[in-house]
Amino acid sequence: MKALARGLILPATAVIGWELASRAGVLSLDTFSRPSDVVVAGAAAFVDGSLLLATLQTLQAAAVGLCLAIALGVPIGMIIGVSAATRLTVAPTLEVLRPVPPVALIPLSLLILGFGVSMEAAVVAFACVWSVMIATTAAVRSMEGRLAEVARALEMRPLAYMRKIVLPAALARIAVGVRVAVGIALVVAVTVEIVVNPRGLGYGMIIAQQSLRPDLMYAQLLWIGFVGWVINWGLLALDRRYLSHFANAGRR
Amino acid sequence: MTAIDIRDVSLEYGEGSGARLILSDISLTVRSGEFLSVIGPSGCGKTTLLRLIAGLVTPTRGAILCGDRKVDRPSRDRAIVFQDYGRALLPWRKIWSNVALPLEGGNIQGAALRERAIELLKVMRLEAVADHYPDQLSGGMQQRVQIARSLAQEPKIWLMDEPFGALDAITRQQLQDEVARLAAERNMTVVFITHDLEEAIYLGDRVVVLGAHPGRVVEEISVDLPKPRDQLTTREDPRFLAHRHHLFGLLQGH
Amino acid sequence: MLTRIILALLLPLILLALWQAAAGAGMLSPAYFPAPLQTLDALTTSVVTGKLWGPFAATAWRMFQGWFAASLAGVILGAVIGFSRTARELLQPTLEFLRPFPASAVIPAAILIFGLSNAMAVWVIAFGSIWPVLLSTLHGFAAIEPRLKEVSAALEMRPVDYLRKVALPSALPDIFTGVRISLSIALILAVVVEMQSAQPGLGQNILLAQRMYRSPELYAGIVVLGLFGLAISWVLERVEQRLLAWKIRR
Ligand SMILES: Nc1ncnc2c1ncn2[C@@H]1O[C@H](COP(=O)(O)OP(=O)(O)O)[C@@H](O)[C@H]1O
Ligand SMILES: [Mg+2]
Repeated sequence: MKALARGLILPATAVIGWELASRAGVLSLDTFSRPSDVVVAGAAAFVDGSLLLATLQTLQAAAVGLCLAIALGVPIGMIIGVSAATRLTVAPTLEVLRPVPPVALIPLSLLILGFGVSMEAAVVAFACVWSVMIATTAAVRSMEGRLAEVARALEMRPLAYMRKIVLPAALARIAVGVRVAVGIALVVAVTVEIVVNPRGLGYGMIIAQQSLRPDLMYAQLLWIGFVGWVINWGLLALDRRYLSHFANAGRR
Repeated sequence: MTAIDIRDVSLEYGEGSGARLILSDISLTVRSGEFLSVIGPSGCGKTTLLRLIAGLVTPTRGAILCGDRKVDRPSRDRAIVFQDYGRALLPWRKIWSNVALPLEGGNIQGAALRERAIELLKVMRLEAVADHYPDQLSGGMQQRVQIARSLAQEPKIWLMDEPFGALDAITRQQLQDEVARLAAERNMTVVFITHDLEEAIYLGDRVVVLGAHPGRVVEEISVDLPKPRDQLTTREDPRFLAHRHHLFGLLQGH
Repeated sequence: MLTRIILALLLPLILLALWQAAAGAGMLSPAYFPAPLQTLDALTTSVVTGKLWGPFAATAWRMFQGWFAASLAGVILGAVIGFSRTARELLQPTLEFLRPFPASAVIPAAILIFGLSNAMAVWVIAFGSIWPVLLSTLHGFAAIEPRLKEVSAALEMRPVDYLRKVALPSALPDIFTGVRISLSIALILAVVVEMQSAQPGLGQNILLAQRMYRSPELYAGIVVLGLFGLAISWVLERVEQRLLAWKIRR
């Protein structure tokens, strides 16, 4: 409780200072707005539903992209983890693609898919697929050895080996990779909206800025921060509850 | 002459209702040049006692004097060899540079610093690995590096915390003899913690037995065995066996 | 080694050859999927005519400025918070709130405050890329082996020497990890800022190429950015290997 109070000193001082400075005319209203106006604008956007709609649009694109990333990253990661041949032939190509800044694909995605949820989800997927894939490969490779010998002794087919042994053993660590990807997904979705895509929270901020509504813009900015914080907090809670335990058990 | 004077020292960890008495009314004196072995069951406060002497912890009650000065913080006169050698070395420094750490800022500089460190490594027969990193060495070698580093400090008092606890029997015996030789040669006062009864008797001029809950002195004996000692004959000496018998019973009882 | 390289090149070469063939047969729309040779052509033209270097330098410089500011501030702030309990209590909750924040979301605010300027771009890049350095520095200083603190105390080291000989080297691997992630984020943000606010650079170039449906130029731009990203991570890996030789050899 006391710790929380101390942690609030800084933000509270900043907000009060901001309000006072704008009232005293030190900070220009056109640029900085003021906290009281921001709260009013945020409440209005909340009540008329526009804020929630935009939030849903952003989260939708992030979720679709994330699912795509998992659908691609897990199987590819598993194959690379299991097969030395793909590690020689496929992995180097992926290594070269990985450092490509995902945002460089925004114009390409726009060119091919046009405005809308799919182009946004595609960029999100490209950004997120790596952490899922790398986690999967690492998980699979770390459990090679004894379990692989068990499977060979049972003369398991490759598909059954993947399904019955590799996937369950690797699941916990894959989940850790997905957890990282979730954080990336929201950031990238908002970024795509800010740059080109006319939907969601990012676009809302750009419109507010361009139509000279700094109060609304700051309200949305804080809201985005809040949404990101809630997601992160939820993931941490999940992490503490399930993942850390399993991840350690799976590593051994 | 008294080198270390521990006067009615008690130590509690925690505060208020959560306070736990770890050491209770310890009184001990160590003569200058004496080799004191301290033995006791695990968790009885041996490490804590050593850290008190080192000045890393201050007693809740009582006082420790070294010479005529009260111990209230660490000093270069008292070198400490930690039990967990793996953590006590700087992993980013080569072996020679780890040994040179206490020499830095003194009057030896540049190439001479390295030379002096290598000399010390020769004492521990480690000159061949001077340019390795700590994690390339076995546990026994790492511990010898720590010992070499503590020698670089040129301490008057040598504090050792179960230094050979994790080593194999042969390495352990070699290091025992080396430590005994160095302590005698350099006329250091030694407080040597161990949980190995035979090691305590083999090395010590005196053995102090600590009891647990709370840690306190339950027995002090003088070891009347001739020095230098020998791994074969000393350990077969009837007096050695008699001490062993006596202390073994004490340790079982607690 | 040679066979490894050949094996590694096999897949991309086959894919590119198929793409080239399909484009040549008219099976792919050139507006969306220009033949690889066309892209290569656009790339060589921009290199030969020198059209590439201006925007490239602008992006790289912008990225570097933001990253450098972020690294410096991040290491200092991280060290202070890692050492001082008071600073930790005052700052940590705020930092926790700001950390998952999408950095690009501050662009509109930065435009309001700084206008469409390079300063704005650098601020945004610095804001977005400070977190990895800050947090990993904090972690590095908080995770110093307690035994080494005691070793320093037993040697009566001065605080400066402790910082220089023990704390900093011990935290360095963490700091370096943070710095590396920061640089890749800085590149991303440099491109984003350029696309969003019409600052000259590679980001703006590819967005303009898309608007004008010059798809070979668009693809060429992506290739350049990809190679740049690759080069950066390669260089940092080398630096890390030198700097942290004691660690990597493990
Ligand atoms: N920093 C500390 N805080 C609280 N309790 C401690 C601390 N260090 C040691 N203890 C406790 O003090 C007791 C004695 O520890 P120690 O001196 O390490 O024992 P020994 O070295 O004889 O095995 C143990 O019960 C241990 O849990
Ligand atoms: Mg101990």
